[in-house]
Amino acid sequence: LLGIRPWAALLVERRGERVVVLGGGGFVGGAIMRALTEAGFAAFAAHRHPVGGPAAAGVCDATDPVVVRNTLLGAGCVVNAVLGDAASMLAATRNITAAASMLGLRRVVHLSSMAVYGPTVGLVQESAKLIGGRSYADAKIACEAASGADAIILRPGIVYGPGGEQWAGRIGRLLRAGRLGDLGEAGDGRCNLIHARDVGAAVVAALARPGLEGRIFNLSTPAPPRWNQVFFAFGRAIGAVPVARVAAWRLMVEGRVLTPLLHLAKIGGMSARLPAAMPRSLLALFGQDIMLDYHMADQALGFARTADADGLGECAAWFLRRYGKPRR
Amino acid sequence: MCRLVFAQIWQATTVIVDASNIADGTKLPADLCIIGAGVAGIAVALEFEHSRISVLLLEAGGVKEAAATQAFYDGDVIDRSLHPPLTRYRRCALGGSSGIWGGRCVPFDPIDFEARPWVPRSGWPLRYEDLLPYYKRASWLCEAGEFAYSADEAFPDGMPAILSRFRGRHFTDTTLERFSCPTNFGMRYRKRLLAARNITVLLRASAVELDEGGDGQSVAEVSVATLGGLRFSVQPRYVVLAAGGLEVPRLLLASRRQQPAGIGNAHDQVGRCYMSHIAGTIGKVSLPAAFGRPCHGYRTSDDGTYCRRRFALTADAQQRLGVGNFIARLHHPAPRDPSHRTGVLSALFFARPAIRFEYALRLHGHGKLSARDWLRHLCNVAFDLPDTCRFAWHWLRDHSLAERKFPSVIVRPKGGQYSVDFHAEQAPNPQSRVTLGTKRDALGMPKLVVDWRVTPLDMRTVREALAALKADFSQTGCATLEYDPDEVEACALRYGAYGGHHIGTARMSASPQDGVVDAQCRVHGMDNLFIAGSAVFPTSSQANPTLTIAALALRLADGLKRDLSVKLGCC
Repeated sequence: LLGIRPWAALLVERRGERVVVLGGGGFVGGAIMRALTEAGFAAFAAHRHPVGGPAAAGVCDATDPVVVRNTLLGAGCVVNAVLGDAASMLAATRNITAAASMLGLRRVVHLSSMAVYGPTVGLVQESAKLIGGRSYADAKIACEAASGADAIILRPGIVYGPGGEQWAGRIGRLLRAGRLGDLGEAGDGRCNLIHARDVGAAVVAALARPGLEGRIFNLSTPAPPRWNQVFFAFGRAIGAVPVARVAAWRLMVEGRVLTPLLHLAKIGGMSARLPAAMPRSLLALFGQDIMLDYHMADQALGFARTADADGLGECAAWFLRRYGKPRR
Repeated sequence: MCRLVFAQIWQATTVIVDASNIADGTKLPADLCIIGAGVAGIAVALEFEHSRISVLLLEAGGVKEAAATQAFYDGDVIDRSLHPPLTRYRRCALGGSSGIWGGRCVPFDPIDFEARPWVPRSGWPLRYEDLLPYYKRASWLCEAGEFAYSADEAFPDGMPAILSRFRGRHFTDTTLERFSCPTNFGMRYRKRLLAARNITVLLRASAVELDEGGDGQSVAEVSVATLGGLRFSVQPRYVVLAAGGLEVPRLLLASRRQQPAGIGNAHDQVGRCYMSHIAGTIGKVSLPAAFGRPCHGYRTSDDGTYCRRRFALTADAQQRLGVGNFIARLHHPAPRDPSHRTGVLSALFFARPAIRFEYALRLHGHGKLSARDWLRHLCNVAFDLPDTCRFAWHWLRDHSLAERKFPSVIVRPKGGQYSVDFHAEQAPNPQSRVTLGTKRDALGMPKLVVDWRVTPLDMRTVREALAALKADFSQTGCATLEYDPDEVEACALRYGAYGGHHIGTARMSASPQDGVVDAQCRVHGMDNLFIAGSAVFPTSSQANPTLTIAALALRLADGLKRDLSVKLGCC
């Protein structure tokens, strides 16, 4: 370990330091918890709902400043992985920033998103203009602004991995239903994959390495495949073959007709039985030719990445366990 | 003013612009000027997507085909019975001829790259292995799926043989042809071209001359003209000529300001060795009932691509027989002859006026049909109405309305008799050539004169290969092939230069004496002029050219990136 990561020695110094992960019960938060625990930190998952599993965890309403302050008492660092509606995320970020400042926490790591770049295309560095444009993206921009000058901001791309319902479960179900596949031009966007385990490794590095205060890092695979390639590779691995062409008109119906109907049905309380929706923002992402510049994260954080093929293989194995083999 | 207009266009978000927006006399700078926005041109341009290299993609046509720009292609054909008019099988528009192609993707075979003593002027200055990595990428670019062109690779769980128990001495049935959507590169990649701010596509901008610099070893300017009378030029660091197998020699030969014979033509090689493919349908294939039904149609691979087996003459057999490359498919009988008793085929025959010229060619025939034959066609449709309606529905759903189209008509003839559809290599022949004529087009460019010729070797390839296929069939007893050997030549030449495959007019060679470009597709003796497309193929193979065009274009782009990274310190 020492040979691979020059900062690994610092981990030894930090061993046992208490790190609170707000949102630590979620998919990404869980991966961060595992990485921190493996690295020797005394990680504590704070979540709005009770969290199962072996990790130390507790219930925490991150929108309540007093609760956040109490949760961070005795901690050396905090990781903000809170996910929710725009108001909740912003309130949580403000509370974490204020509490961290008041308690003199050594380090704050804020988990943002590539969504902050909005519809930008091409190679995007961390210094690029933040455009946002959708409620989630705008909320993430506001959270970044509220995260304090010393916070380390991580902007991951598509965080995937076994157990990730959003980018493995949902995509797999849509592939099996024939609603996703070869999207043609609409699937030409770059899929800036980053394994959840690698996000955890990046957080560990962000906590351990000195002199990173106030820095921002994109987290992505070095050569992001196109979404069509991902759909084919994942579709084949889960037996959703042939990965058929999905016509442009069908995608338009998905985005403009089916998604609003599903949304209405969800409001009506039928969410449990409904298929996954493909909102227009998701369809736009599949066509967005954006490549996150990963070099800065490589240089400053230096964490090892999971190969895309290996990560997708893990996801496929998880998907087959979770949803079974396809019916022929 | 000129510079201002261009600067505005250069910085505009939308970078597909009509050349009429360029001011007369403008000199446009570009790191890379690509002439022709077809398969090759777009493949090269996309390789520089989002890079620091400024790319200018010139297309003589507009977004869609138009009579006025299509007329640029007009020219003379020496023997009209052997070669279609020059405005056919080509499309002057964004995407080029990919707007009308059938989508068949097949890589060249390793033997095609080798020097074969029995095929004069054969041999490429590169190996199959050199192109293999690019074939893999090209297959995706053409939307033909992964590079799995054998039945075992594409269908690990098994794919039915065309004829059960077929084991040929000369032929194998394990290779596949895969089908693109078929992808119109202009429509399919327009969004990516638009999104890349370093790429500018100029429509209705015809390159009319390449002007060399003082040293005569590089292109200093590309002169561009529009139908509206504008003239401007591009000052590129590098030029890629990707205008198609006929327009490439035309532009090289017409660029004679410093070299009277034209650029790259010091050894009189430009326009020579013009090849296409020898194709036709022949004979009657009868199948014994005991061997079951043939599987001559398509199977869908995991990536959703339609794949089809064919009978391919092996490399050993080519050497043994001393012939070129050759493949054959089990095909339905000629629709024109009502004796097939198949309603679908008769309906197709009736529908031929509604089918595009390039695809209806085989439905037409020589001479008039008798009233009795017309009646028999009507009876075929009437008595076979359920099958005909089923086919119509299948065609509407799987071809007309589908984005990935079912590639061709596959029917089981009621009479149980099939035919053989073949596609054969044409050997390079310096006498088969394109030259400049005396007539000029609307922009003042000399029109082409095409003198396409076949050689005895071409006919021998078809004759010997058909005989070998017949022998293979009879040896295994899985089918019998009957045909009149005296009709082979007529059958092979019935459609003339087939399929709009314009090959070899600026062939690749190790030495300038034998060709026009080197193994990197750089014009011999020129520093910054490259050619992409089927014009550079030294031999034609049995394969349709598009996949290889794309693969060579990707390889060329890789070489250019290396050059540019040295010269400009980017890429």
